[in-house]
Amino acid sequence: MKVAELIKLRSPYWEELEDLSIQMGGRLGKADPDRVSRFATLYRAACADLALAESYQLPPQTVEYLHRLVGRAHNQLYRSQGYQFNSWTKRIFTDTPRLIFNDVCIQIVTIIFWGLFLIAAYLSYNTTVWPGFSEAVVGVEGLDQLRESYGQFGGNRGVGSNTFMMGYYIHNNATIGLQCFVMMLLVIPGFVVLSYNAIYLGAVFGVMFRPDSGAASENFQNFVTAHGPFELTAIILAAGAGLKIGLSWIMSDGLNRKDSLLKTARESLPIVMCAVVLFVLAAMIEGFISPHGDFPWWGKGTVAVGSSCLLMIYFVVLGYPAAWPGGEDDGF
Amino acid sequence: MSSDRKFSAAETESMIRGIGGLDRPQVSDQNDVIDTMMLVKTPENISFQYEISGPFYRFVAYLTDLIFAFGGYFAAVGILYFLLVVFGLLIGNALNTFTFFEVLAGIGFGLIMVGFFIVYWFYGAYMETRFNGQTLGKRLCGIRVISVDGHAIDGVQATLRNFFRFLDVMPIVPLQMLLGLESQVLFALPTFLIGLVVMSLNRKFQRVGDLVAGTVVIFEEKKYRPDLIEFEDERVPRLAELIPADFVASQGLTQVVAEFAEQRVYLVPQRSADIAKHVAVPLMDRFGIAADTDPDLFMCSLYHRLFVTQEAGESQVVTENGAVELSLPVSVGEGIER
Repeated sequence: MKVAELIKLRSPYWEELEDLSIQMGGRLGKADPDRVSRFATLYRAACADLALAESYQLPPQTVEYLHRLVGRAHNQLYRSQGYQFNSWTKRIFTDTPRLIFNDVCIQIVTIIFWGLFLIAAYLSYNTTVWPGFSEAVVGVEGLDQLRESYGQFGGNRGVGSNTFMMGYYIHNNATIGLQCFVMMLLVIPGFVVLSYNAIYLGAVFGVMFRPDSGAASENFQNFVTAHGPFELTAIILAAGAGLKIGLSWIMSDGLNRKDSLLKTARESLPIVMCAVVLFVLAAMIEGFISPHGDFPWWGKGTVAVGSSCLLMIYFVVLGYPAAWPGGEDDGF
Repeated sequence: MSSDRKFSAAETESMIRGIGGLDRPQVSDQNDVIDTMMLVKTPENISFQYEISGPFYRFVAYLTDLIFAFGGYFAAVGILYFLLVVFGLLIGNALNTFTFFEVLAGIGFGLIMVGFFIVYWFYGAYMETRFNGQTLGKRLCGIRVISVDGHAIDGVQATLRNFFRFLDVMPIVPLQMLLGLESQVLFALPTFLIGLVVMSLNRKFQRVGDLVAGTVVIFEEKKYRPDLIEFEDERVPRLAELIPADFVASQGLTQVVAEFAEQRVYLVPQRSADIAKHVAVPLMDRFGIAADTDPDLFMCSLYHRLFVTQEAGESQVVTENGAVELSLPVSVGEGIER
């Protein structure tokens, strides 16, 4: 058979495959079975044509066309897996807490965050050790603003403005968390963001807990108690997940850097998603419970203790490894 | 080859696994990208090529997505706002209270904030998971995200590569700094510098997000199917008859002839003759064709002979399901003499 005849003979099949690829577009699963089976047959035939193109001695342009055709059909046949929801229960309640409990990066970030936070809080609480520390961190204007806004705090907001504030907190805080996660890939910028947040927050807490802050101090404590545990944990989780990825390509542990990065990124995603969920929970509390002037302080305290207990159960009880090291959870 | 020759890791591995020979080139992660073509091996054990998409095409797709996602978002916000005003005020008036409107407005704006967060961080992840590696913009531009190993991407990869876009658009320059304005409102202009630099540093044009998720963006537009070239000149078939019937061209020669025939339309006659003569003159000499024949014409005749009149295979049979069974044509290594 001549090449010209061969091309003429095969073209209708190639064109049919191309048409089917276009028609099926986004929904191969919903196409009728006959067409799917026809599609698969044509795909195999095109694969065979491509594989044998050299023996057929097809001209290069036709070969290139076949590459495109097979590539396109390949993408229709092998489709994205989506989020496999049926395996989520195990992932959320078994794998993720164990991952978090065992993770060195999260422990490092926890120590750095709380260390800087407590140091900054002490330095701005105690005015004699480093006079003017809080002014240097937050700024004089910022401190005035804080005192002012917490000074006139009280009263009750309506359901409407509570929902609005919840939306605002989700948007604002979760975005900061995700940004911190992403910046941690380059480690140093991530640490800058993390340390800045820790020192700033610490300084604000220190100032607000000073006895000379008056009514603002009381209101501030009243406001931050309830949502604190979830929000601060969320920041640490996001940064820890980011640090895991950042260190993976620096200390690749025997793998090649790219593979180490890919593997760790896949592991870190559940942690950062956990952080997003915590940000959302914190925002709900921050929107509806924290600003309530009438809500008694012990009530808010109970919310804080309760949420801390929940976190403890999740991280420690669920996260405590079944057996050191590896154990049954490795799937062997 | 001396017996104490050191083997490279790839060679040792190929010997252990029994694939390839010592002298066969190994297809590895390093050299599977030639120009902008990426080699993919399918489960059917077929290798085929994808053309990798460069940054500027992808930028257009990204802009389209921005317009689509945030256009859609702001349209939704507009409708919500309209409904809010109409119903909130109407019902509020009927009940003779303003509180109802206030509550609705609060909930509405809360939803708007959450919506913005979701669209900003999760639009790309959702679209790429749902539509097999394509967002709307990518679909319009004919590009698609796939895994570096050629498989479709999964939800985790889609989410990761879209999260890390935040790093790719860095550094963000405040617009008022550029314009020297003293405005309080912050308009930030993403420069995409990190993404661009990282893309230019690797062969698959992967940005940071792609590296983290192990994905690559490829072209997938319809490509026209080229027909065999037919020459108007009637000297071509006549000259083709002068080529001996027992001449079998090697694969290399066949490819050279086809490439030449496809490219010669872009060349001036003098230049195409110059290029053709390196292959044509020795062959004409061998076939006993007059030396003053135009080499360009001879190459066209050879093309005609190889692809239009010569029998390529013996017995290709198309079975009823469209597959092909054949016995391979035997090609003798009759290469170009040098």
